[in-house]
Amino acid sequence: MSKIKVRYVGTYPIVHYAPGFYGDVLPGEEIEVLESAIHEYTDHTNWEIVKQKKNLPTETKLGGDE
Amino acid sequence: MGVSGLGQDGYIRIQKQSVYGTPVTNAMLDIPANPGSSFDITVAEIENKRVINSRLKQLINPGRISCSFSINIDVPFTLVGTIMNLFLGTASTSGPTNSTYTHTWLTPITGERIAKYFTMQFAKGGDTAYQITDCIFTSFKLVCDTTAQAKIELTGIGKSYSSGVSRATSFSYPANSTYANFGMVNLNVDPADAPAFDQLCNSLELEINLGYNLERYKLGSRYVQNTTFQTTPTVMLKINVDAEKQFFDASLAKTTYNFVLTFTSDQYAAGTTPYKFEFEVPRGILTPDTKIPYDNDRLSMDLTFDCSYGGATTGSQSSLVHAEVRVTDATASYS
Repeated sequence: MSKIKVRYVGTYPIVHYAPGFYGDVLPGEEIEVLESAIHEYTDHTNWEIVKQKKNLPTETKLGGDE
Repeated sequence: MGVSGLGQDGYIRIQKQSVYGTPVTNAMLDIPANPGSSFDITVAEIENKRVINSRLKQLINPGRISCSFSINIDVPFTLVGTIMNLFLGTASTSGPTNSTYTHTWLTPITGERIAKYFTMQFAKGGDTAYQITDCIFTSFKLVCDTTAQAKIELTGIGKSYSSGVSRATSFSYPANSTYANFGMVNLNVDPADAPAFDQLCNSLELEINLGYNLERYKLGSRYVQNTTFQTTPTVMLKINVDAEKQFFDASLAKTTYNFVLTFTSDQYAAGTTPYKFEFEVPRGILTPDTKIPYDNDRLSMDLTFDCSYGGATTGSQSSLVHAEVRVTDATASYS
């Protein structure tokens, strides 16, 4: 199952339980949880969903001499 | 139909409401409740005793709908501010000092109510959750002895309920290192007729009951109405100490005492400033039943201070209040 990365932005250390994750989390730390739980982190004051960098399209050569 | 399953699968979560009557269920705060907490939803019966030519009991009509709860938790320093925010309303805040803030609450002596309303969801075992809307905390009791973490018992009521609420799948609780235990307590006692001193205690209990009307039912609705203060608030401090004659004499003389109960964490809220919460009780008088037992072993005595008389505190300045609560943490405000 695919995972998403979320960042804890609360002010104090926590123990966090989620699909695909169990453990201590410090403020500012990023963790990975199953994507099926994404709704638990959407618009949450203590969590941010970390946006993944998209793969850049392969550079196209211009002016080829084929 | 199914069994409720393993109790450890249950949970409690809350979220502050901005408007009475409108539940809020996003970004709910998980409460690390201990076993023994209770959540009661009842629909009373209106008995029908009409004589209608039958010895069969007549079917009832549904009566009052009541939602009440009692939540027992070990005390995480990181949640005390949130609990006080719900119990005593908006804090006045100073700071930041090295990225920490000190929040002050005063027990109310005017107004209709002070608590913040919140929505609560709780599930027992693996069942779907219940949701109670328009909850308030009505009393607060802090308990500590020399064996364990400090505990808080919060009692309260809500207005309406719904069942079959979808279960949450992820949970956050304060880290183990953030809980207050008996090694972090200090009780400073300041008698009116003698210098202040730090009192060694075997156990203590501080209770604040704001005197809300828990049964404010009115014609036209089976739900309890928006709760208001009903009676004089009470603040009681109970401690068990090695027996001392001075306390017995003070109960005879009706000596007044000022108390500052402080819990200081060994963890930093930010920088090098530790989490802390304090209760300042400006005036307490020992109850008349103060006694020193007559026994063979080392003597200890129970002291009960009625602290409902009120007085000026650090934050109230010239105003008279029953108690003041101060919390130091890394949260910028409790509005």
